[in-house]
Amino acid sequence: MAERPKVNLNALSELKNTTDDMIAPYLKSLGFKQSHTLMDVRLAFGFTACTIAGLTFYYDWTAGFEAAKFWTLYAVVAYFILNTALTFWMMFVEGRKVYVGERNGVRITLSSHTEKHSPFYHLKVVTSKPGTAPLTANEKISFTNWFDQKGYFVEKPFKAFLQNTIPALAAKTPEAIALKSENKSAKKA
Amino acid sequence: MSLLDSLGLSELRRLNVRQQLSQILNFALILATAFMLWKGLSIATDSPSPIVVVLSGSMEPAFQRGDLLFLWNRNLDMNKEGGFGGTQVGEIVVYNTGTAIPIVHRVVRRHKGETTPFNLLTKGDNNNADDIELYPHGQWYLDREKEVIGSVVGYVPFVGYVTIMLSEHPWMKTALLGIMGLLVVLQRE
Repeated sequence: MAERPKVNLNALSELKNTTDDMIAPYLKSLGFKQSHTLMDVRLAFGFTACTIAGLTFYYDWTAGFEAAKFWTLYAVVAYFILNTALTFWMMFVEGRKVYVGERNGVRITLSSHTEKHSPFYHLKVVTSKPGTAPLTANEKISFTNWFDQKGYFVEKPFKAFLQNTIPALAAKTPEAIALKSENKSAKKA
Repeated sequence: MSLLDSLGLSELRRLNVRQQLSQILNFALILATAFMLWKGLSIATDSPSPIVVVLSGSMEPAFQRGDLLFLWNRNLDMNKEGGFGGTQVGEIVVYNTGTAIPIVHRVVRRHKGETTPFNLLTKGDNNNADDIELYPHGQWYLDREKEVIGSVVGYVPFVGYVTIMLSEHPWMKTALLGIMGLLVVLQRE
């Protein structure tokens, strides 16, 4: 990342979105291959629906209502079926997932959310390996850990947080050790 | 680049292609859904324009400028026993005979035509004479099926005045559309 993102510290959604955006580049640098299936299916549903609406508009505009109404009926029905499918996909399949990726046969799914008027980042990590039961880890941590006073994103502590939260990452990287010793010294003081 | 920064929108530059497409999709879906809802209502009522705004005072005191009217256009029958009670004397219909704007007037006379199955004569409550002068040259009646776009079945007073404002001051329309579009593209939640 060439530049450091800056957020409005009073906007919770900005804090969350920026944090979410930082996950994929870091995991990519660690050799994870991101799966875009969830997003691609959503885009496919959405843009198909929009294409139907666009064609309906064009046909209705050129042929007139009376001539077009036979196909308009089918287009309207198809549009709302697709729209319902899209809504269900976003609510029940995508949900809060912000990252799905794989490395060496280990698949990790990260979901994040925030709660109203609360400066905490909630991260849920599901690790699954074929043949074993999926492992879930939940973490709740303040955004102040990786946003400085002016709202600039600080990479190092965030990487360390991911290292410590995602079991599939070896905990013995320099960043993780740094955070642990930082916590220890904080406790002493 | 620097323009985005000075507007505080540097976040947009960081989005990847999928995220950008998703932002565009959000905006497109709003337009598409509004259009398809309108078309769905058109199909249900069988009217090319199921909601119209009263533009003149010719039906006062029943309707004022700016009243929003809901139309129903499946009552093409002459008889009361026919489909949906037919179109009767005393009903208010909206018709469009190729003039720029549809006209909202009351049915005062009905007859069966030589070439057309069902004809109407209309008059504005607030006008001194009937509508023959408003019909195309040499035509003494309205063709219920071809020229009328529906009977008024419901209304909401005054709320349509916004559209009168927008059509009388076109810059308002441009400004409104621009602001809404910008907001949707720039917001992520």
